[in-house]
Amino acid sequence: MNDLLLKRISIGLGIIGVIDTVYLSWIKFTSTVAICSVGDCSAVNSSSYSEIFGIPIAILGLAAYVVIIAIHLLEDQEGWIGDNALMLIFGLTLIGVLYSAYLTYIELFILRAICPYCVLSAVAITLMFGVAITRMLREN
Amino acid sequence: MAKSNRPAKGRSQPWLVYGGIVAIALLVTAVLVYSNFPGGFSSDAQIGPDASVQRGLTGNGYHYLGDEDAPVTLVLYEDFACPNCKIFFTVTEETLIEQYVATGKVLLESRPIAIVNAGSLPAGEAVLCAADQGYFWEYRELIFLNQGNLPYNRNSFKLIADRIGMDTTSFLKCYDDHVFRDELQQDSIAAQQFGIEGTPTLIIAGERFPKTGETSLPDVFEVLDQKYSEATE
Repeated sequence: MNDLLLKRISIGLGIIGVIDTVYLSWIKFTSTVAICSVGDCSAVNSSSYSEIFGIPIAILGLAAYVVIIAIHLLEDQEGWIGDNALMLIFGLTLIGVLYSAYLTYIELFILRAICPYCVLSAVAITLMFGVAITRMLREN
Repeated sequence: MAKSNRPAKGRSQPWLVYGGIVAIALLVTAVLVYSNFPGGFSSDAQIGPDASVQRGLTGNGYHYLGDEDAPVTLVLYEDFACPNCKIFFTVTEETLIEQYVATGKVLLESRPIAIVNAGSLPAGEAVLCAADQGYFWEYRELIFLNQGNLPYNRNSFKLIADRIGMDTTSFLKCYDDHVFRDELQQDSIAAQQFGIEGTPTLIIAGERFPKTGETSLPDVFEVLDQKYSEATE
């Protein structure tokens, strides 16, 4: 598997993350569903854990995916970002993995409700982190 | 995008740099986790409805607030793990009680069910154990206020019982023995068979809101005014 393919896989995962977080942000902002039925995304997404400094975590996740994709696209450009792209991707996806682990813990043990879209994001960022490490190991 | 396979430049980073990145990532995550952690236990100065509001049990054992001869009955199907039940409680209920229940226009009957998630059943059992000691409305209030802040587990339920001033020993015995589990499960099944698909579902003077297919609640007060007018004509 060459580096270009790995990079494309990572961008693909980032796009999945963008779609997922756009959907979660939409749920958060519209709050159109005023009834809880069986299914837990509204429990997770409306809990007090779903915001940091008043900003919905879904929006922060969306921003993170957009930034990571942008860095991938700038990887081959001249300049500081291009020179340090892999390092930046590694750092950002690591934060994503650690924070997703925390949020999954909250879902399982505090809220006792699992939101499949949140799990999807956790899987996507973890795979992106794995791809970043693979690429780093190959380059060093 | 420029070509992708040109020789790497500046990419052979020493491992020390990556160690630094890991340290920064851990620090950023710690800040994010710390900022996200909600405050502790929430409670009102006065827990539960005002003492002047009548309370009692219906013939089939549900708790109600208001005058038993009130012209309009509002039956509220609620799940204590449901965020929108919490929203109904925090946004609508105070006005509902002040303007409609305390004035004798409406009788508010709560029908707890457990259908939303894994926290529904333990929370419902805890509320019913509190009800056994006569603290249904008080416990229900603190469950809603702390929903999403406290984990729904034995310790939190004990903390709430303690805050209200209940006998925690017999409360925990009731909770541990699952005294009300069967009742709650049967009520939940019966409610679903009755067509309750989600919570909160209101039945105002026999009419169900939302009706099938609707996802948002109606203007409750408008409906109550209308039903009250019809009942007192």
